[in-house]
Amino acid sequence: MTKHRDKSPEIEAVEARKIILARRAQYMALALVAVGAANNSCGGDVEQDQNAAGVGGSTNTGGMRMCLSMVYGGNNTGSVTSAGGMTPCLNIAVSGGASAGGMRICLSTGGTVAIGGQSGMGNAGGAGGMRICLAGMLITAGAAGRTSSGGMHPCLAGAPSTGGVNSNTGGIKMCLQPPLYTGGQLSTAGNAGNAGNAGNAGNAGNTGNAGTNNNGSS
Amino acid sequence: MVATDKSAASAGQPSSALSIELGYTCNQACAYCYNPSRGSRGALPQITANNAPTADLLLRRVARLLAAWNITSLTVTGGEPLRHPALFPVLDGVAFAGKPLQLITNGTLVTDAVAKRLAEYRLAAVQITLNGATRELHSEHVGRDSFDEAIRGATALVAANVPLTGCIVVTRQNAEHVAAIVELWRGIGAKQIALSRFSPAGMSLERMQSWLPRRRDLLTAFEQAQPFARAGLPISCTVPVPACLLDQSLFAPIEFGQCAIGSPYQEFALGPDGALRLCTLHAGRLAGGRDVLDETWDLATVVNSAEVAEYRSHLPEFCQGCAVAPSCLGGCGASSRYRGDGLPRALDPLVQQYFAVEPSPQLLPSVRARTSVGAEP
Repeated sequence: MTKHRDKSPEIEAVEARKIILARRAQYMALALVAVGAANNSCGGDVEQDQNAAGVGGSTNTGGMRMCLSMVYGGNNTGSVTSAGGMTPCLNIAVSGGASAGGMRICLSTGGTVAIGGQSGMGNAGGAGGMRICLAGMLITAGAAGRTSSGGMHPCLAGAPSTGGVNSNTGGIKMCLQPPLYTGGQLSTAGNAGNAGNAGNAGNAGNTGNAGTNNNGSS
Repeated sequence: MVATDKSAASAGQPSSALSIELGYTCNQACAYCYNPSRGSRGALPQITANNAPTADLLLRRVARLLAAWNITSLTVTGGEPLRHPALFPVLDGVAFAGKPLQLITNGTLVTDAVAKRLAEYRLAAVQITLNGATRELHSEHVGRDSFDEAIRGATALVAANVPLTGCIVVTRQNAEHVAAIVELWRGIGAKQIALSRFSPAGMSLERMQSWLPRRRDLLTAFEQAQPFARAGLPISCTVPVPACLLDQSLFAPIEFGQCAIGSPYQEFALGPDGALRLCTLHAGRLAGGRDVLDETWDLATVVNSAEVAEYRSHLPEFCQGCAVAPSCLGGCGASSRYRGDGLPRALDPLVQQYFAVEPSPQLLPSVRARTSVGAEP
Protein backbone atom coordinates (compact mmCIF):
# COMPACT_ATOMS: atom_id res chain seq x y z
CA MET A 1 0.00 0.00 0.00
CA THR A 2 2.83 2.36 0.63
CA LYS A 3 5.03 1.45 -2.29
CA HIS A 4 4.75 4.89 -3.83
CA ARG A 5 5.74 6.57 -0.62
CA ASP A 6 8.84 4.47 -0.25
CA LYS A 7 10.54 6.45 -2.94
CA SER A 8 12.66 9.37 -1.96
CA PRO A 9 11.15 12.77 -2.68
CA GLU A 10 13.84 13.43 -5.25
CA ILE A 11 13.22 10.24 -7.15
CA GLU A 12 9.51 10.69 -6.90
CA ALA A 13 9.78 14.20 -8.27
CA VAL A 14 11.85 13.08 -11.24
CA GLU A 15 9.45 10.28 -12.00
CA ALA A 16 6.44 12.50 -11.58
CA ARG A 17 7.88 15.06 -13.96
CA LYS A 18 8.54 12.41 -16.56
CA ILE A 19 5.10 10.93 -16.26
CA ILE A 20 3.33 14.26 -16.35
CA LEU A 21 5.22 15.33 -19.43
CA ALA A 22 4.77 11.99 -21.11
CA ARG A 23 1.05 11.93 -20.48
CA ARG A 24 0.81 15.50 -21.68
CA ALA A 25 2.74 14.59 -24.80
CA GLN A 26 0.30 11.80 -25.46
CA TYR A 27 -2.66 14.10 -25.16
CA MET A 28 -0.97 16.67 -27.34
CA ALA A 29 -0.26 14.03 -29.95
CA LEU A 30 -3.81 12.86 -29.82
CA ALA A 31 -4.98 16.37 -30.46
CA LEU A 32 -2.59 16.68 -33.35
CA VAL A 33 -3.68 13.39 -34.76
CA ALA A 34 -7.30 14.35 -34.47
CA VAL A 35 -6.60 17.54 -36.36
CA GLY A 36 -4.53 15.86 -38.99
CA ALA A 37 -6.49 12.69 -39.34
CA ALA A 38 -7.78 13.66 -42.69
CA ASN A 39 -4.34 14.32 -44.04
CA ASN A 40 -2.86 10.91 -44.06
CA SER A 41 -2.17 10.62 -47.70
CA CYS A 42 1.48 11.36 -47.67
CA GLY A 43 3.44 8.39 -48.68
CA GLY A 44 7.03 7.61 -48.48
CA ASP A 45 7.93 10.00 -45.75
CA VAL A 46 9.96 9.08 -42.78
CA GLU A 47 8.97 11.59 -40.24
CA GLN A 48 11.39 10.83 -37.53
CA ASP A 49 13.54 8.00 -36.55
CA GLN A 50 15.79 8.90 -33.75
CA ASN A 51 15.89 5.63 -32.00
CA ALA A 52 17.86 2.55 -32.25
CA ALA A 53 15.62 -0.31 -32.92
CA GLY A 54 16.30 -3.49 -31.13
CA VAL A 55 15.50 -6.93 -32.21
CA GLY A 56 12.63 -6.74 -34.50
CA GLY A 57 13.33 -3.89 -36.71
CA SER A 58 10.73 -1.80 -38.34
CA THR A 59 9.99 -1.74 -41.94
CA ASN A 60 7.78 0.70 -43.55
CA THR A 61 7.00 0.24 -47.11
CA GLY A 62 5.46 3.05 -48.92
CA GLY A 63 4.09 4.68 -45.91
CA MET A 64 4.63 7.33 -43.40
CA ARG A 65 5.86 6.61 -39.95
CA MET A 66 5.98 8.92 -37.08
CA CYS A 67 7.75 8.10 -33.94
CA LEU A 68 7.11 10.19 -30.93
CA SER A 69 8.56 7.89 -28.41
CA MET A 70 12.05 6.86 -27.60
CA VAL A 71 11.48 3.40 -28.86
CA TYR A 72 8.89 2.23 -31.17
CA GLY A 73 7.84 -0.73 -33.14
CA GLY A 74 10.38 -3.38 -33.39
CA ASN A 75 12.20 -2.69 -30.25
CA ASN A 76 10.64 -5.34 -28.20
CA THR A 77 9.19 -8.51 -29.41
CA GLY A 78 8.24 -8.89 -32.95
CA SER A 79 8.20 -6.09 -35.31
CA VAL A 80 5.90 -3.55 -36.66
CA THR A 81 5.28 -3.66 -40.29
CA SER A 82 3.36 -1.08 -42.07
CA ALA A 83 2.80 -1.63 -45.70
CA GLY A 84 1.72 1.45 -47.38
CA GLY A 85 0.27 2.96 -44.31
CA MET A 86 0.91 5.39 -41.60
CA THR A 87 1.95 4.09 -38.25
CA PRO A 88 2.63 6.57 -35.56
CA CYS A 89 3.53 5.00 -32.31
CA LEU A 90 3.76 6.83 -29.08
CA ASN A 91 4.55 4.09 -26.73
CA ILE A 92 6.74 1.14 -26.50
CA ALA A 93 4.64 -1.91 -26.32
CA VAL A 94 3.77 -2.47 -29.85
CA SER A 95 4.54 -6.06 -30.26
CA GLY A 96 4.07 -7.30 -33.65
CA GLY A 97 1.32 -5.42 -35.31
CA ALA A 98 0.43 -5.27 -38.90
CA SER A 99 -1.25 -2.46 -40.60
CA ALA A 100 -1.94 -2.97 -44.18
CA GLY A 101 -2.62 0.22 -45.91
CA GLY A 102 -3.86 1.78 -42.80
CA MET A 103 -3.00 4.07 -40.04
CA ARG A 104 -2.40 2.84 -36.55
CA ILE A 105 -1.73 4.85 -33.56
CA CYS A 106 -1.21 3.62 -30.10
CA LEU A 107 -0.89 5.96 -27.24
CA SER A 108 -0.85 3.59 -24.40
CA THR A 109 -0.03 0.07 -23.73
CA GLY A 110 -3.10 -1.24 -22.08
CA GLY A 111 -1.04 -3.65 -20.18
CA THR A 112 0.42 -6.27 -22.40
CA VAL A 113 -1.88 -5.79 -25.26
CA ALA A 114 -1.05 -2.97 -27.51
CA ILE A 115 -3.95 -1.01 -28.74
CA GLY A 116 -5.09 -2.53 -31.90
CA GLY A 117 -2.13 -4.76 -31.88
CA GLN A 118 -1.86 -8.30 -32.90
CA SER A 119 -1.79 -9.81 -29.50
CA GLY A 120 -2.94 -13.23 -30.39
CA MET A 121 -6.21 -12.88 -28.61
CA GLY A 122 -7.44 -9.60 -29.76
CA ASN A 123 -6.43 -9.97 -33.32
CA ALA A 124 -7.42 -6.47 -34.05
CA GLY A 125 -6.54 -5.65 -37.55
CA GLY A 126 -6.41 -2.29 -39.09
CA ALA A 127 -6.87 -3.00 -42.69
CA GLY A 128 -7.08 0.19 -44.51
CA GLY A 129 -8.33 1.89 -41.46
CA MET A 130 -7.31 4.18 -38.75
CA ARG A 131 -7.33 3.36 -35.11
CA ILE A 132 -6.50 5.66 -32.33
CA CYS A 133 -6.64 4.77 -28.73
CA LEU A 134 -5.37 6.56 -25.75
CA ALA A 135 -6.43 4.70 -22.69
CA GLY A 136 -5.30 1.24 -22.09
CA MET A 137 -8.50 -0.29 -21.03
CA LEU A 138 -10.34 0.20 -24.22
CA ILE A 139 -9.20 -2.84 -26.02
CA THR A 140 -8.13 -5.31 -23.49
CA ALA A 141 -7.61 -8.93 -23.89
CA GLY A 142 -10.97 -9.81 -25.16
CA ALA A 143 -12.03 -13.11 -26.39
CA ALA A 144 -13.00 -11.80 -29.69
CA GLY A 145 -11.14 -9.41 -31.82
CA ARG A 146 -11.98 -5.96 -32.87
CA THR A 147 -11.72 -5.15 -36.43
CA SER A 148 -11.55 -1.82 -38.01
CA SER A 149 -11.76 -2.12 -41.70
CA GLY A 150 -11.52 1.02 -43.60
CA GLY A 151 -12.69 2.98 -40.70
CA MET A 152 -11.62 5.29 -38.01
CA HIS A 153 -11.82 4.26 -34.42
CA PRO A 154 -10.49 6.79 -31.99
CA CYS A 155 -11.06 6.32 -28.34
CA LEU A 156 -9.87 8.41 -25.53
CA ALA A 157 -10.82 6.74 -22.32
CA GLY A 158 -13.21 4.52 -20.65
CA ALA A 159 -14.20 1.11 -21.69
CA PRO A 160 -16.80 1.42 -24.35
CA SER A 161 -16.03 -2.01 -25.56
CA THR A 162 -14.54 -4.34 -23.07
CA GLY A 163 -15.34 -7.61 -24.60
CA GLY A 164 -16.94 -9.36 -27.39
CA VAL A 165 -16.93 -8.40 -30.93
CA ASN A 166 -16.50 -4.80 -31.76
CA SER A 167 -16.50 -4.42 -35.40
CA ASN A 168 -16.17 -1.15 -37.10
CA THR A 169 -16.41 -1.46 -40.77
CA GLY A 170 -16.00 1.56 -42.82
CA GLY A 171 -17.17 3.85 -40.17
CA ILE A 172 -16.04 6.31 -37.61
CA LYS A 173 -16.33 5.50 -33.96
CA MET A 174 -15.30 8.00 -31.45
CA CYS A 175 -15.74 7.65 -27.78
CA LEU A 176 -14.64 10.19 -25.31
CA GLN A 177 -15.02 9.68 -21.64
CA PRO A 178 -18.11 11.53 -20.58
CA PRO A 179 -17.17 14.25 -18.20
CA LEU A 180 -18.36 13.85 -14.68
CA TYR A 181 -19.08 17.17 -13.15
CA THR A 182 -19.29 17.20 -9.46
CA GLY A 183 -18.36 20.66 -8.45
CA GLY A 184 -16.80 21.23 -5.12
CA GLN A 185 -18.73 18.68 -3.25
CA LEU A 186 -20.02 15.30 -4.00
CA SER A 187 -22.75 15.78 -6.49
CA THR A 188 -26.06 14.36 -5.59
CA ALA A 189 -27.64 15.31 -8.81
CA GLY A 190 -26.04 12.67 -10.91
CA ASN A 191 -25.08 13.09 -14.47
CA ALA A 192 -26.61 11.59 -17.43
CA GLY A 193 -24.21 9.64 -19.50
CA ASN A 194 -23.25 10.78 -22.91
CA ALA A 195 -25.06 9.08 -25.62
CA GLY A 196 -22.86 7.02 -27.80
CA ASN A 197 -21.83 8.40 -31.09
CA ALA A 198 -23.68 6.97 -33.91
CA GLY A 199 -21.52 5.57 -36.58
CA ASN A 200 -20.82 7.84 -39.44
CA ALA A 201 -20.44 7.00 -42.98
CA GLY A 202 -17.26 5.17 -43.44
CA ASN A 203 -13.96 6.55 -44.36
CA ALA A 204 -12.35 4.83 -47.13
CA GLY A 205 -9.27 3.07 -46.00
CA ASN A 206 -5.93 4.44 -46.80
CA THR A 207 -4.21 2.42 -49.28
CA GLY A 208 -0.52 2.25 -49.35
CA ASN A 209 1.55 4.73 -51.11
CA ALA A 210 4.57 4.10 -53.06
CA GLY A 211 7.95 4.32 -51.53
CA THR A 212 10.21 2.32 -49.33
CA ASN A 213 11.65 3.34 -46.07
CA ASN A 214 13.59 1.22 -43.76
CA ASN A 215 13.95 2.37 -40.27
CA GLY A 216 14.83 -0.77 -38.59
CA SER A 217 18.40 -0.18 -37.75
CA SER A 218 20.49 2.77 -37.01
CA MET B 1 -40.93 29.95 2.64
CA VAL B 2 -39.22 29.91 -0.69
CA ALA B 3 -41.55 29.04 -3.50
CA THR B 4 -40.83 28.65 -7.15
CA ASP B 5 -42.91 29.32 -10.16
CA LYS B 6 -42.92 25.87 -11.68
CA SER B 7 -44.19 27.08 -15.03
CA ALA B 8 -41.41 29.62 -15.36
CA ALA B 9 -38.80 27.15 -14.26
CA SER B 10 -39.24 25.08 -17.35
CA ALA B 11 -39.09 27.77 -19.95
CA GLY B 12 -35.50 28.00 -20.95
CA GLN B 13 -34.09 29.05 -17.65
CA PRO B 14 -30.39 28.45 -17.18
CA SER B 15 -29.63 25.48 -14.98
CA SER B 16 -27.26 25.49 -12.08
CA ALA B 17 -26.77 24.11 -8.63
CA LEU B 18 -26.40 26.55 -5.78
CA SER B 19 -24.32 26.48 -2.64
CA ILE B 20 -25.57 28.79 0.10
CA GLU B 21 -22.93 30.02 2.52
CA LEU B 22 -24.57 31.10 5.74
CA GLY B 23 -21.45 32.66 7.19
CA TYR B 24 -17.78 31.98 7.69
CA THR B 25 -17.49 31.48 11.41
CA CYS B 26 -16.38 28.03 12.41
CA ASN B 27 -15.34 26.11 15.49
CA GLN B 28 -12.46 24.48 13.65
CA ALA B 29 -9.41 25.86 11.90
CA CYS B 30 -8.83 23.28 9.22
CA ALA B 31 -5.53 23.30 7.42
CA TYR B 32 -7.35 22.63 4.17
CA CYS B 33 -10.02 25.27 4.64
CA TYR B 34 -10.78 26.93 1.32
CA ASN B 35 -12.95 29.55 2.88
CA PRO B 36 -12.05 32.68 0.93
CA SER B 37 -12.59 35.14 3.72
CA ARG B 38 -9.90 33.70 5.93
CA GLY B 39 -6.19 33.78 5.55
CA SER B 40 -3.95 36.64 4.55
CA ARG B 41 -5.24 36.60 0.99
CA GLY B 42 -8.83 36.89 2.08
CA ALA B 43 -10.71 38.59 -0.69
CA LEU B 44 -14.15 38.81 0.75
CA PRO B 45 -15.63 41.00 3.43
CA GLN B 46 -15.29 39.49 6.87
CA ILE B 47 -18.57 38.01 7.99
CA THR B 48 -18.86 37.62 11.72
CA ALA B 49 -21.65 36.84 14.09
CA ASN B 50 -22.34 40.56 14.25
CA ASN B 51 -22.91 41.18 10.58
CA ALA B 52 -24.04 37.75 9.44
CA PRO B 53 -27.11 37.83 7.25
CA THR B 54 -30.44 37.04 8.76
CA ALA B 55 -32.49 34.09 7.61
CA ASP B 56 -34.95 36.45 5.98
CA LEU B 57 -32.22 38.14 4.00
CA LEU B 58 -30.71 34.83 2.94
CA LEU B 59 -34.06 33.47 1.86
CA ARG B 60 -34.90 36.54 -0.17
CA ARG B 61 -31.65 36.09 -2.03
CA VAL B 62 -32.30 32.43 -2.63
CA ALA B 63 -35.82 33.19 -3.78
CA ARG B 64 -34.51 35.57 -6.42
CA LEU B 65 -32.16 32.93 -7.73
CA LEU B 66 -34.85 30.27 -7.70
CA ALA B 67 -37.04 32.55 -9.78
CA ALA B 68 -34.28 33.23 -12.29
CA TRP B 69 -32.62 29.86 -12.60
CA ASN B 70 -33.61 26.27 -12.88
CA ILE B 71 -31.74 25.30 -9.72
CA THR B 72 -30.99 21.63 -9.75
CA SER B 73 -29.83 21.21 -6.16
CA LEU B 74 -29.09 23.24 -3.08
CA THR B 75 -26.21 22.89 -0.66
CA VAL B 76 -26.15 24.71 2.65
CA THR B 77 -22.70 25.32 4.07
CA GLY B 78 -20.61 27.81 5.97
CA GLY B 79 -18.28 28.22 7.82
CA GLU B 80 -19.92 25.81 10.11
CA PRO B 81 -23.63 26.12 9.34
CA LEU B 82 -24.73 24.69 12.67
CA ARG B 83 -23.14 27.68 14.37
CA HIS B 84 -25.35 29.97 12.38
CA PRO B 85 -28.72 30.85 13.92
CA ALA B 86 -30.26 31.05 10.47
CA LEU B 87 -29.65 27.43 9.60
CA PHE B 88 -32.99 25.92 10.46
CA PRO B 89 -35.05 28.87 9.26
CA VAL B 90 -33.16 28.68 5.99
CA LEU B 91 -33.74 24.95 5.77
CA ASP B 92 -37.40 25.54 6.49
CA GLY B 93 -37.52 28.01 3.65
CA VAL B 94 -35.56 26.22 0.98
CA ALA B 95 -37.20 22.87 1.70
CA PHE B 96 -40.34 24.18 0.07
CA ALA B 97 -38.48 24.65 -3.17
CA GLY B 98 -38.49 20.91 -3.59
CA LYS B 99 -34.89 20.72 -4.69
CA PRO B 100 -32.38 18.09 -3.62
CA LEU B 101 -30.86 19.53 -0.49
CA GLN B 102 -27.49 18.84 1.07
CA LEU B 103 -25.80 20.10 4.20
CA ILE B 104 -22.06 20.35 4.70
CA THR B 105 -20.95 20.44 8.31
CA ASN B 106 -18.00 19.35 10.37
CA GLY B 107 -20.43 17.35 12.46
CA THR B 108 -19.16 18.48 15.82
CA LEU B 109 -22.40 20.23 16.74
CA VAL B 110 -24.70 17.44 15.63
CA THR B 111 -26.41 16.05 18.68
CA ASP B 112 -29.11 13.40 18.69
CA ALA B 113 -31.70 16.14 18.79
CA VAL B 114 -30.10 18.02 15.91
CA ALA B 115 -29.88 14.83 13.90
CA LYS B 116 -33.55 14.11 14.40
CA ARG B 117 -34.43 17.62 13.40
CA LEU B 118 -32.29 17.38 10.28
CA ALA B 119 -33.99 14.13 9.39
CA GLU B 120 -37.26 16.00 8.99
CA TYR B 121 -35.92 17.79 5.94
CA ARG B 122 -35.31 14.60 4.02
CA LEU B 123 -31.91 15.83 3.00
CA ALA B 124 -30.20 14.18 0.09
CA ALA B 125 -27.08 14.01 2.22
CA VAL B 126 -25.21 15.51 5.11
CA GLN B 127 -21.49 15.63 4.47
CA ILE B 128 -18.97 15.42 7.29
CA THR B 129 -15.21 15.31 6.94
CA LEU B 130 -12.86 13.00 8.79
CA ASN B 131 -9.20 13.31 7.97
CA GLY B 132 -7.84 10.60 10.15
CA ALA B 133 -8.99 7.40 11.72
CA THR B 134 -7.25 8.49 14.89
CA ARG B 135 -7.83 11.45 17.13
CA GLU B 136 -4.32 12.72 16.57
CA LEU B 137 -4.39 12.71 12.80
CA HIS B 138 -7.85 14.21 12.52
CA SER B 139 -7.04 16.90 15.06
CA GLU B 140 -3.85 17.77 13.24
CA HIS B 141 -5.95 18.54 10.20
CA VAL B 142 -8.77 20.48 11.82
CA GLY B 143 -6.84 22.44 14.40
CA ARG B 144 -8.55 21.16 17.50
CA ASP B 145 -9.44 17.94 19.24
CA SER B 146 -12.84 17.33 17.70
CA PHE B 147 -12.51 13.73 16.59
CA ASP B 148 -14.97 12.31 19.09
CA GLU B 149 -17.45 15.07 18.43
CA ALA B 150 -17.38 14.45 14.69
CA ILE B 151 -17.79 10.71 15.18
CA ARG B 152 -20.65 11.26 17.55
CA GLY B 153 -22.35 13.64 15.16
CA ALA B 154 -21.98 11.30 12.21
CA THR B 155 -23.27 8.40 14.24
CA ALA B 156 -26.28 10.40 15.35
CA LEU B 157 -27.14 11.25 11.77
CA VAL B 158 -27.03 7.61 10.71
CA ALA B 159 -29.18 6.68 13.68
CA ALA B 160 -31.70 9.27 12.55
CA ASN B 161 -31.67 7.83 9.03
CA VAL B 162 -30.04 10.87 7.52
CA PRO B 163 -27.99 9.90 4.46
CA LEU B 164 -24.39 10.46 5.41
CA THR B 165 -21.57 11.30 3.03
CA GLY B 166 -18.16 10.68 4.51
CA CYS B 167 -15.63 13.15 3.20
CA ILE B 168 -11.86 12.79 3.33
CA VAL B 169 -9.56 15.57 2.25
CA VAL B 170 -6.43 13.85 1.01
CA THR B 171 -3.34 15.63 2.22
CA ARG B 172 0.32 14.79 2.37
CA GLN B 173 -0.20 13.84 5.99
CA ASN B 174 -3.11 11.44 5.71
CA ALA B 175 -2.74 9.83 2.28
CA GLU B 176 -1.39 6.57 3.61
CA HIS B 177 -4.23 6.35 6.11
CA VAL B 178 -7.07 6.64 3.63
CA ALA B 179 -8.00 2.96 3.89
CA ALA B 180 -8.40 3.24 7.63
CA ILE B 181 -10.51 6.36 7.28
CA VAL B 182 -12.76 4.82 4.65
CA GLU B 183 -13.11 1.77 6.85
CA LEU B 184 -14.14 4.03 9.71
CA TRP B 185 -16.68 5.75 7.51
CA ARG B 186 -18.07 2.45 6.36
CA GLY B 187 -18.40 1.28 9.93
CA ILE B 188 -20.27 4.41 10.89
CA GLY B 189 -22.66 3.90 8.03
CA ALA B 190 -21.71 6.45 5.39
CA LYS B 191 -23.63 5.91 2.18
CA GLN B 192 -20.87 7.28 0.01
CA ILE B 193 -17.38 8.71 0.22
CA ALA B 194 -16.30 12.07 -1.11
CA LEU B 195 -12.59 11.61 -1.55
CA SER B 196 -11.49 15.17 -1.95
CA ARG B 197 -8.01 16.51 -2.41
CA PHE B 198 -6.25 19.33 -0.71
CA SER B 199 -6.95 22.41 -2.80
CA PRO B 200 -4.94 25.44 -1.83
CA ALA B 201 -7.48 28.19 -1.82
CA GLY B 202 -8.50 30.60 0.86
CA MET B 203 -6.96 29.81 4.21
CA SER B 204 -5.19 26.72 2.96
CA LEU B 205 -3.05 28.74 0.56
CA GLU B 206 -0.72 29.41 3.45
CA ARG B 207 -0.36 25.71 4.14
CA MET B 208 0.27 24.59 0.60
CA GLN B 209 3.96 23.87 0.98
CA SER B 210 3.51 21.32 3.70
CA TRP B 211 0.03 19.93 3.05
CA LEU B 212 -0.27 19.69 -0.69
CA PRO B 213 -0.23 15.98 -1.59
CA ARG B 214 2.38 14.82 -3.99
CA ARG B 215 1.56 12.55 -6.85
CA ARG B 216 2.67 9.55 -4.88
CA ASP B 217 0.34 10.53 -2.06
CA LEU B 218 -2.62 10.60 -4.39
CA LEU B 219 -1.66 7.26 -5.88
CA THR B 220 -1.51 5.80 -2.41
CA ALA B 221 -4.83 7.31 -1.43
CA PHE B 222 -6.67 6.14 -4.49
CA GLU B 223 -5.16 2.69 -4.31
CA GLN B 224 -6.27 2.39 -0.73
CA ALA B 225 -9.78 3.57 -1.53
CA GLN B 226 -10.22 1.46 -4.62
CA PRO B 227 -10.99 -1.87 -2.88
CA PHE B 228 -13.85 -0.23 -1.03
CA ALA B 229 -15.24 1.13 -4.27
CA ARG B 230 -14.94 -2.28 -5.83
CA ALA B 231 -16.84 -3.69 -2.90
CA GLY B 232 -19.73 -1.40 -3.71
CA LEU B 233 -19.15 1.72 -1.63
CA PRO B 234 -19.63 4.71 -3.95
CA ILE B 235 -16.47 6.80 -3.90
CA SER B 236 -15.92 9.97 -5.85
CA CYS B 237 -12.95 12.26 -6.12
CA THR B 238 -14.81 15.51 -5.93
CA VAL B 239 -12.12 18.04 -6.72
CA PRO B 240 -10.55 17.80 -10.15
CA VAL B 241 -7.23 16.03 -10.56
CA PRO B 242 -5.32 16.96 -13.71
CA ALA B 243 -5.45 14.20 -16.30
CA CYS B 244 -1.72 14.37 -16.92
CA LEU B 245 -0.94 13.68 -13.27
CA LEU B 246 -2.26 10.15 -13.19
CA ASP B 247 -4.38 7.73 -15.13
CA GLN B 248 -7.72 7.98 -13.41
CA SER B 249 -9.11 4.96 -15.19
CA LEU B 250 -6.77 2.73 -13.21
CA PHE B 251 -8.71 3.51 -10.08
CA ALA B 252 -12.15 2.57 -11.33
CA PRO B 253 -14.80 2.42 -10.06
CA ILE B 254 -13.73 5.51 -8.16
CA GLU B 255 -15.32 8.38 -10.05
CA PHE B 256 -13.32 11.47 -10.83
CA GLY B 257 -15.06 14.76 -11.13
CA GLN B 258 -14.09 17.57 -13.39
CA CYS B 259 -14.51 21.24 -12.98
CA ALA B 260 -18.14 22.07 -13.65
CA ILE B 261 -17.76 25.80 -13.99
CA GLY B 262 -19.31 26.92 -17.24
CA SER B 263 -21.16 23.65 -17.67
CA PRO B 264 -24.77 22.73 -16.91
CA TYR B 265 -23.55 21.13 -13.69
CA GLN B 266 -22.02 24.23 -12.26
CA GLU B 267 -22.63 25.04 -8.61
CA PHE B 268 -22.48 28.73 -7.94
CA ALA B 269 -21.67 29.91 -4.46
CA LEU B 270 -23.93 32.48 -2.87
CA GLY B 271 -21.89 34.20 -0.20
CA PRO B 272 -23.21 35.72 3.00
CA ASP B 273 -22.57 39.10 1.43
CA GLY B 274 -25.08 38.33 -1.30
CA ALA B 275 -22.51 38.04 -4.06
CA LEU B 276 -22.14 35.10 -6.39
CA ARG B 277 -18.89 33.26 -7.04
CA LEU B 278 -17.95 30.58 -9.53
CA CYS B 279 -17.82 27.98 -6.78
CA THR B 280 -17.19 27.85 -3.07
CA LEU B 281 -13.43 27.65 -3.60
CA HIS B 282 -13.25 30.73 -5.76
CA ALA B 283 -12.74 34.07 -4.09
CA GLY B 284 -13.57 36.30 -7.03
CA ARG B 285 -17.05 37.71 -6.92
CA LEU B 286 -19.08 37.93 -10.09
CA ALA B 287 -20.36 41.18 -11.50
CA GLY B 288 -18.15 43.19 -9.25
CA GLY B 289 -19.67 41.72 -6.11
CA ARG B 290 -23.24 42.87 -6.66
CA ASP B 291 -25.81 41.55 -4.25
CA VAL B 292 -28.29 39.26 -5.95
CA LEU B 293 -31.01 41.39 -4.44
CA ASP B 294 -29.98 44.19 -6.78
CA GLU B 295 -33.11 44.47 -8.89
CA THR B 296 -31.17 45.95 -11.77
CA TRP B 297 -29.17 42.77 -12.10
CA ASP B 298 -30.75 40.32 -14.51
CA LEU B 299 -29.76 37.11 -12.78
CA ALA B 300 -30.89 34.99 -15.70
CA THR B 301 -27.89 36.27 -17.61
CA VAL B 302 -25.35 35.21 -15.01
CA VAL B 303 -25.16 31.50 -15.71
CA ASN B 304 -24.23 31.94 -19.33
CA SER B 305 -22.48 35.27 -18.99
CA ALA B 306 -19.15 35.85 -20.63
CA GLU B 307 -17.57 36.04 -17.18
CA VAL B 308 -18.59 32.46 -16.59
CA ALA B 309 -18.38 31.03 -20.07
CA GLU B 310 -14.88 32.37 -20.68
CA TYR B 311 -13.60 30.67 -17.60
CA ARG B 312 -13.25 27.43 -19.47
CA SER B 313 -11.19 28.99 -22.23
CA HIS B 314 -8.52 30.44 -19.98
CA LEU B 315 -6.20 27.52 -19.63
CA PRO B 316 -2.66 27.43 -18.34
CA GLU B 317 -0.06 27.62 -21.07
CA PHE B 318 0.97 24.09 -20.16
CA CYS B 319 -2.45 22.84 -21.23
CA GLN B 320 -2.67 24.62 -24.55
CA GLY B 321 -3.25 22.13 -27.33
CA CYS B 322 -4.01 19.23 -25.04
CA ALA B 323 -6.71 16.89 -26.27
CA VAL B 324 -8.40 16.62 -22.90
CA ALA B 325 -8.05 20.23 -21.84
CA PRO B 326 -11.65 21.10 -22.70
CA SER B 327 -12.86 18.78 -19.97
CA CYS B 328 -9.85 18.66 -17.66
CA LEU B 329 -9.32 22.42 -17.62
CA GLY B 330 -5.94 21.78 -16.09
CA GLY B 331 -7.42 20.59 -12.82
CA CYS B 332 -8.87 22.85 -10.18
CA GLY B 333 -8.96 26.44 -11.31
CA ALA B 334 -9.52 27.74 -7.81
CA SER B 335 -6.36 25.97 -6.71
CA SER B 336 -4.53 27.67 -9.52
CA ARG B 337 -5.01 31.14 -8.11
CA TYR B 338 -1.95 31.01 -5.93
CA ARG B 339 -0.34 33.51 -8.22
CA GLY B 340 -3.14 35.86 -7.38
CA ASP B 341 -6.20 37.03 -9.19
CA GLY B 342 -5.87 38.95 -12.40
CA LEU B 343 -2.83 37.04 -13.58
CA PRO B 344 -2.81 34.32 -16.20
CA ARG B 345 -4.17 31.13 -14.82
CA ALA B 346 -1.45 28.99 -13.37
CA LEU B 347 -1.04 25.29 -13.38
CA ASP B 348 -2.84 23.29 -10.77
CA PRO B 349 -0.35 23.09 -7.91
CA LEU B 350 -0.61 19.30 -7.98
CA VAL B 351 1.32 19.55 -11.25
CA GLN B 352 3.12 22.81 -10.68
CA GLN B 353 4.94 21.49 -7.64
CA TYR B 354 7.14 19.41 -9.93
CA PHE B 355 8.29 22.32 -12.03
CA ALA B 356 10.27 25.27 -10.80
CA VAL B 357 8.65 27.23 -13.55
CA GLU B 358 5.85 26.16 -15.75
CA PRO B 359 7.25 23.98 -18.50
CA SER B 360 6.93 25.58 -21.85
CA PRO B 361 5.76 23.69 -24.90
CA GLN B 362 9.32 23.85 -26.18
CA LEU B 363 10.47 21.83 -23.23
CA LEU B 364 8.46 18.89 -24.30
CA PRO B 365 10.60 17.32 -27.04
CA SER B 366 13.71 17.26 -24.92
CA VAL B 367 12.09 15.36 -22.15
CA ARG B 368 10.01 13.02 -24.16
CA ALA B 369 9.26 10.22 -21.91
CA ARG B 370 11.30 7.13 -21.73
CA THR B 371 8.70 5.92 -19.34
CA SER B 372 5.92 3.53 -20.07
CA VAL B 373 3.11 5.75 -19.03
CA GLY B 374 0.40 3.27 -19.62
CA ALA B 375 1.80 0.97 -17.02
CA GLU B 376 2.23 3.65 -14.44
CA PRO B 377 -0.82 4.80 -12.53
